[in-house]
Amino acid sequence: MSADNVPSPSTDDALSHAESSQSQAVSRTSAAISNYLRAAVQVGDDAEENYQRALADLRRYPEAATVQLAAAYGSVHAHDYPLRWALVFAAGELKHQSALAFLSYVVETPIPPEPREPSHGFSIVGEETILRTTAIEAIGHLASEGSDDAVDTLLRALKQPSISIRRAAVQALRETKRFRNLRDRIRAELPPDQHFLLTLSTPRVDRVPQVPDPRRFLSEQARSIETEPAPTLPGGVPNTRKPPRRR
Amino acid sequence: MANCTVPAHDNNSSGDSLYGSRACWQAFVDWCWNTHSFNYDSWHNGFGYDDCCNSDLPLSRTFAAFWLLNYSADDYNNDDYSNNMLHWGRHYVRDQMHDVTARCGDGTANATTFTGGSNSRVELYLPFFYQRDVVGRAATLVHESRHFGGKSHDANFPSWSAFPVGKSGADSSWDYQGAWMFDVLYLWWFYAAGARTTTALQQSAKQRGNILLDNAFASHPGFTIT
Repeated sequence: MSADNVPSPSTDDALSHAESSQSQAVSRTSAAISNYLRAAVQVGDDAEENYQRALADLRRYPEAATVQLAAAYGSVHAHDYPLRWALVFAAGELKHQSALAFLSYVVETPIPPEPREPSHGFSIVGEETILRTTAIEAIGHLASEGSDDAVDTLLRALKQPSISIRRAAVQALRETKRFRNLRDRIRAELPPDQHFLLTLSTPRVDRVPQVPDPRRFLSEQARSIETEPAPTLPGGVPNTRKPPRRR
Repeated sequence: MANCTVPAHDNNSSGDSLYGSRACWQAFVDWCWNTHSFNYDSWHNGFGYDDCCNSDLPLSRTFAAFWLLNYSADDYNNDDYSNNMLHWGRHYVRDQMHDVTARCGDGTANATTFTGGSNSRVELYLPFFYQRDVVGRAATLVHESRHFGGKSHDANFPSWSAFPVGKSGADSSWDYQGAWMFDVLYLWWFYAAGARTTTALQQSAKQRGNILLDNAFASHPGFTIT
């Protein structure tokens, strides 16, 4: 949303600290989960090695890890979406059948309503949906590995009212060997105005329409000012992190 | 004047441990503050002006987003507008966004851009600082910059949207080239080709981009990010 000629507020807001605003949920989990969450956001020469080691620790006892991830998820502040998302992502990275119950729980927990109507860009429903589509993608991996329970969970997800949950479920089912046989059933589960989810294309980013000459979209004021680019990075900032092995 | 409290947050999972420490670099802080003409008064009173490397505070979390925006192309200095959006996104935001202001907000918005007068500015609110990870924040900066560029949303959210159905705030289509398209396209390029980042943040970008494709356009663009 943009607004024209809105006067600047005359006073400034004040932000204070709660007694402990850093989330306590992670500190109550096992070292394996804490290590994993730290390793997942590292970059640098040894980041991939550290990440794989932390993931291997987590995968060593997948049942226990799932229980701990689920417990942490249950104790995290509901609006700490980055941490909740990291816990769901970690459960998916287990790539183990034992995670299915937790992932299914995430998907099938009803999305809470907006406490107030979102005004611009921030939506509780949107953030909650991201958690569920991330869980569906992880369930999709289990389904593609032959888990019938995972396929059943994805089929149930088609009944949910969220278009994004349905879209993620359709995409996950497409990757299973059973998709050809399930196609008519999937179509029947979708509302008629969402049958297009079965035909969504999956292009590379460079194959979708881009923004030709973005300078056209600068305001007159912006076009009249030459800005300096950000300073060149000092030495020592790692260039890239090799991605962890994906499925 | 509103009063608000720092909500629960985890700096590892949001990417602030990583990006906050990177942005704690005087040359970058000076450049960012001046280039985007941060509103001096608004960043006091607990928002971080006196402690700009403290990742628990909004200013550091905002610098982190700008850092990601500026250095996530492998060859980040090549930010010519003829390149892809991972490159020119930072150029566009740099040219366009100014008077960056911190506010508590009412919890219903990440940010709002006010244009057209001498008080044009972008206001950033608590959900931006604490309920978005770093790449989500960077994409919001891109989104708001498109509003600075003069493009408002032109449609109502469709019947299937997770956002308030029938209310304004959607873009009519991908081809409208509005703020949602800019938002998604940046997330998508970051997912596909982002450098100096982590797989977790790239995956987060993909998920967020897909939610916007599904819900923020009156006419679904017809593709999804895989």
